[in-house]
Amino acid sequence: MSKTPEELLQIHYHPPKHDWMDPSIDFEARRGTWSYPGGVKSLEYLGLPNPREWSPTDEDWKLPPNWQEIVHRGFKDLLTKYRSLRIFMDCCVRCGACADKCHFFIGSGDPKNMPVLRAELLRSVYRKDFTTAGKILGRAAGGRALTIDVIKEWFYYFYQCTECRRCSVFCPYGIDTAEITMAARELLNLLGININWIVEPVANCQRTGNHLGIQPHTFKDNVEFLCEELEDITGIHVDPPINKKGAEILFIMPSADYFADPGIYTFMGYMLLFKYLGLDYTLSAYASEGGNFGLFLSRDTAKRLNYKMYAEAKRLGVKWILGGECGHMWRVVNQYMDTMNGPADFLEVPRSPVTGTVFENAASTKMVHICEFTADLIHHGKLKLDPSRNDWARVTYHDACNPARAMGLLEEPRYLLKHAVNHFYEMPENTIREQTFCCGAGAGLGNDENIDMRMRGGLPRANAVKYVHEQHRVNLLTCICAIDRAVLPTLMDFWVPGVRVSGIHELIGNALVIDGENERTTNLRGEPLHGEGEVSDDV
Amino acid sequence: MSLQTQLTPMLDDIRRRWIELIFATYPSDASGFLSREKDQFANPVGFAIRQATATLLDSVVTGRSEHTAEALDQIVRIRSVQDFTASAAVSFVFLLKQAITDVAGELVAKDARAWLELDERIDGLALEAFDVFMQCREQLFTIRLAEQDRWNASARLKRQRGLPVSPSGMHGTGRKEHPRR
Ligand code: SF4
Ligand code: SF4
Repeated sequence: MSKTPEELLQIHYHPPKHDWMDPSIDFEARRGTWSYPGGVKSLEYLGLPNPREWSPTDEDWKLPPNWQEIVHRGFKDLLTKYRSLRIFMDCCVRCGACADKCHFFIGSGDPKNMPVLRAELLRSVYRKDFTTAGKILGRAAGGRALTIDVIKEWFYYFYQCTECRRCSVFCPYGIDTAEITMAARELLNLLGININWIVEPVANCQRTGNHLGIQPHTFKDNVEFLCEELEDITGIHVDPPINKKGAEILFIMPSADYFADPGIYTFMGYMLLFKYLGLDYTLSAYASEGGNFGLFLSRDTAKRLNYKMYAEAKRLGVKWILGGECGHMWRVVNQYMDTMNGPADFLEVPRSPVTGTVFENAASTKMVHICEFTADLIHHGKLKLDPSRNDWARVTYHDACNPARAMGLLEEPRYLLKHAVNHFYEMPENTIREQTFCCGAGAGLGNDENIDMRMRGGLPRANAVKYVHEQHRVNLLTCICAIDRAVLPTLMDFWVPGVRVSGIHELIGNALVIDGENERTTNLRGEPLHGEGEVSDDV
Repeated sequence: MSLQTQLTPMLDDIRRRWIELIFATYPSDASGFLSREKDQFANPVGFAIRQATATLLDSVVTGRSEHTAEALDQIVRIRSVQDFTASAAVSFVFLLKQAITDVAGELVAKDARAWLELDERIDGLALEAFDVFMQCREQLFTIRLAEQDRWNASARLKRQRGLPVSPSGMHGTGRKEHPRR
């Protein structure tokens, strides 16, 4: 029988108040908020534990018989290796400052998406198994036994954290929930619990050098194809060197930039800039990925994928590495690479061949972010830019979590935009810079089966875009992260139709006045420069 | 005096009660936050509910409906991707009935005919909300398809130019092996 409105009210008026410690997730009812598990072939390829066919909706997740012991040992191991983890486990005072700062909580209203409770999922087990009080008092001391349902709950909620670190900005103790999530995923991984949108790219990357599994001939083919498109538009012939030994600089970009829309236009921007400068650089068909999905799986896989950048730099004999517009790549480079595979003593401290600027900040990693590089060029008056070529765009800027919070790259992108466009509008203060809201799809969660969760998590970001869209008729959301470029267009389609997404070097490419070019009648996307989208009067 | 006129001074209270009831459809730890945090960027869900309920209440009382679609969309779009079943997602409209009877029960009881009219308008709103809900869910599917297309842009462009395309794709799209649905 159908329910009367009154009955509906009865049911949903006061939602059942579960004790938060009691885990149980109905995965079937919650499709759209979790990701498919890692495929057997990828797990086998990577030599990861317990490859098998399974689904979160199964009652039996086919875990090894001694799974509890495996997790316990793994946990102990992590606590010994990372003092920070033990501190994070011990020092939270539950002040709640982080509680309402997570985009997933804000968008979903699910209390377990509060960072403090997310961490508590792991911490409660820690307390029970690794503290004296917990061992004796159990639940009374906030401890909780490790059951299969706890493991299922970990899978659900630690794959609902994008490791964006917004919460840690507000924590008085600097507790980094992203690292707690990483630890939890590391433990789950020991049981063969992970997701395909991470495992498959990692396996691809280990095999072919990039997440998409693109082989060298296809890499070359794609690069050439995009350069032809670029030549059609600008009249400038670009022929980027690939695997050129002895080049001064190795340029590494996220693979989506030579494959997916709208990253491919950012790629065209890079190519045009390097041509303009006459840069002595090379691309690599092996270091053909800046991103590192290994980071979202385990420290070991992060290290493996990161290593190929150095190995390739060494093989090609370059002096230093220039990196493209990528997000988590810079978290790895800036925070982990040095201790994982560095220091890269065989490389030189990066020095711009155009301006002579020495990038002391990259003295150890030998890797410079392209926004720093280009900002330095503009600062020294080395680029001729015509921002009116971007007048079709009314622009705002989304700080990608990792460049902003893990690297402090806040000013350079804005400086570039200031010189490349005429109409720029910031989103509200509490949604940008260090406080930026995540796209809702980082850390491997950008897959399509997770779409409901992405829309929830992306709501705070989209909401701020909507504001500038309504106030200033903003129609272009710029970013310097390949995941953003992949997922933000979808987020905009749902929440703020009429706003498109681009990288910053796409706009640099549009604005760059280069000798011998055709008169530009279109932007790099092949759309008329003075089209419908243009609104000339300022508001 | 018509019921509508008599209700006018009570509209703020009715709306406040309605908002309270809607917030209570969220888990208790969240409903506190929804009502406490007033910043529209820190709390977009609470803000949308506060803003849209004003428009919707106005339309129910006055019968004017210029902005109802927009206001419904503001709330339903959010609830369409949250942990609600379809019925629960749109049930917030019916909560207005409870809000009115909670605040102005005596008045309403006295004028059954006028109440019937309001009651029907609220039912109409609920039906409309259901349409919006369906549109949002459908849209989720279309944007997923558009996304796959973007993620294979270079292949699409090559195809348009009549060039051969090699089989690889943004991760997930070329996924041969994945669990049964
Ligand atoms: S790191 Fe980001 S996604 Fe994870 S709990 Fe903190 S705010 Fe939420
Ligand atoms: S802000 Fe820090 S100390 Fe406070 S509850 Fe959150 S994690 Fe714990």
